[in-house]
Amino acid sequence: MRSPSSLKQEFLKRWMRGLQRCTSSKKDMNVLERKKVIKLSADLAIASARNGTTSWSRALIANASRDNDNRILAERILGPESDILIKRVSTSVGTVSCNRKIRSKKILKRSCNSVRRVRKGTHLPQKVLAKSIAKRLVQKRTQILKRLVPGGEFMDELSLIEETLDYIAYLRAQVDVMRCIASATELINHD
Amino acid sequence: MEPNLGTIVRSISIGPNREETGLESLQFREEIHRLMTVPPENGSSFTELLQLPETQAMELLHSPHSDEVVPVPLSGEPLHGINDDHKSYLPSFNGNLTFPSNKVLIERAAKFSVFASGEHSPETSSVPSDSSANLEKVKSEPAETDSNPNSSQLLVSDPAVNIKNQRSEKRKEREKKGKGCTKKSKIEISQDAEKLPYVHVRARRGQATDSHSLAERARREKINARMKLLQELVPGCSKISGTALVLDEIINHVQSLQRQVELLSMRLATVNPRVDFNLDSLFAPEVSMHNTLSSFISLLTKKIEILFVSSINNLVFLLGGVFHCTLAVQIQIYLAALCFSRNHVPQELLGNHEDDDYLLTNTSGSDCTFYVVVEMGKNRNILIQILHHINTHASS
Repeated sequence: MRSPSSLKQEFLKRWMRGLQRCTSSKKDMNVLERKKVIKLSADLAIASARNGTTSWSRALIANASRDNDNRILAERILGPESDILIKRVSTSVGTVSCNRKIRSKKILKRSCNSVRRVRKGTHLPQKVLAKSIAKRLVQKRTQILKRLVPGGEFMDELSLIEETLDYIAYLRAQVDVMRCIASATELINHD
Repeated sequence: MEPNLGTIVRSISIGPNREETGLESLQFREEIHRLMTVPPENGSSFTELLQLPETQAMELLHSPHSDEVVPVPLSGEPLHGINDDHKSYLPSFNGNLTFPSNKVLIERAAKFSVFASGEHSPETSSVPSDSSANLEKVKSEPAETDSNPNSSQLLVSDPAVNIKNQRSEKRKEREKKGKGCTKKSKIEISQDAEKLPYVHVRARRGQATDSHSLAERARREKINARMKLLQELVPGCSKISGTALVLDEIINHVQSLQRQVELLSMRLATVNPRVDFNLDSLFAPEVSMHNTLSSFISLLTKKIEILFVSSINNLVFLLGGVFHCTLAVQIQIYLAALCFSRNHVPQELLGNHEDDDYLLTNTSGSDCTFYVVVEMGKNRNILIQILHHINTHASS
């Protein structure tokens, strides 16, 4: 896997650059806006660091550029290479939405079947019951996970797990860097 | 769970294959004990374990006949046909059951014991070719992935269930299961596969032999491997067994990380305006600072040397410790003072080094937010140059 420190360095660079580009124009921002900007630039920083190789980064960028308010901001933060990136992201997202239709049909079929099966088996032996319960638990949790990971709703289990791995690594790097900078600036301000 | 274990024990003592029982009864006892101490929360894998015997019994009964085409007179009924066939095959099997090597068992056991989630529908795309010669090889390959301590549990159930299945009670249980089990669909599919003349089923024990289930098995193994990676990544997850709980932990971890990002960005957002006062407080005693600034700089360079000696090359470490905080603070304060006094951002410090590991200063307009981020990768020279630059500016 990528080394965490290089990930952090990359993230930091891009984040700073994005912040620079973004805050150079606006003078007055209240706290919420600032927070939004910081978070947005951080997200975009790491997402662009992945360069569209992972699905969640694409989804992040896609989400960011979806709302019109954020779009301009996002484009500015991403900088000169934003057009290419956004184009790449949108093409991949298009294919994803096609898959989504197919997948949703399958999900519908599967859920109907499972419901039917469970209802008919009135004298199910205990092991089968336990198995179906376990299955349902796992299914519920994978659904939750799909909602958490950006762009995860349309993925099958295998890719979902891979994306989660990547996403966790990124989140960790982001948290570490932000925490360091936050504590540093607070220390600075206390001087 | 308990009654099933009881039947296993009983069936071992009763079973007609006395040769096997004689050889392996000792093993059975140990492993039954181990089975009984399996924590009940591991229900998913255990039910898999118990599911296993039903299908596998069929395979066992069919396996010695792999050389000849199995004339399975199966109609459309799912299980009743099987039961009849089992009855017909039974007398010929009495002394004939050859247990495949333990290695195969272990391999198969490893696969069945971990991930019992719901991917039943044979939607997976990979379909290995079904020539009889290759079938066994193909099946054995995906099994090479991992060996498990769980294999011992299955070891006992396989031979035990083989014996068990010759009893009519278990057959009734299977009938009673009705449509509640997806193994049934696999049984049907495997029946269909056996109808085809060219499929000589030297089946691995306990597993259906059609391409769908093979593909599904491969897929499940991949998923299990990834889940293990995830378990290692998320702290405190490696001890947990059972997919649902592991997923719980992962979800909690991701949620907490996301929440931390939110909080931190809020913190950073509130931090900004307070940097201003630094400049004012700095600028007043500027004269006296000149002397101290040069000493500052030498001190800084010394500190940087120290830092490099201790091989720190990232901001994260830099800002993490108190010592390093002071370094960044000093650089920052000095740059702030410089900018304020000269009324310009020392762009030459920044502009050329945009893409290397270097000193980044984020100055934004009226906010005057100075984030001095010192990345000292390999380019310590640049940093020292910058400091010299600052020094000359200071002295001039």
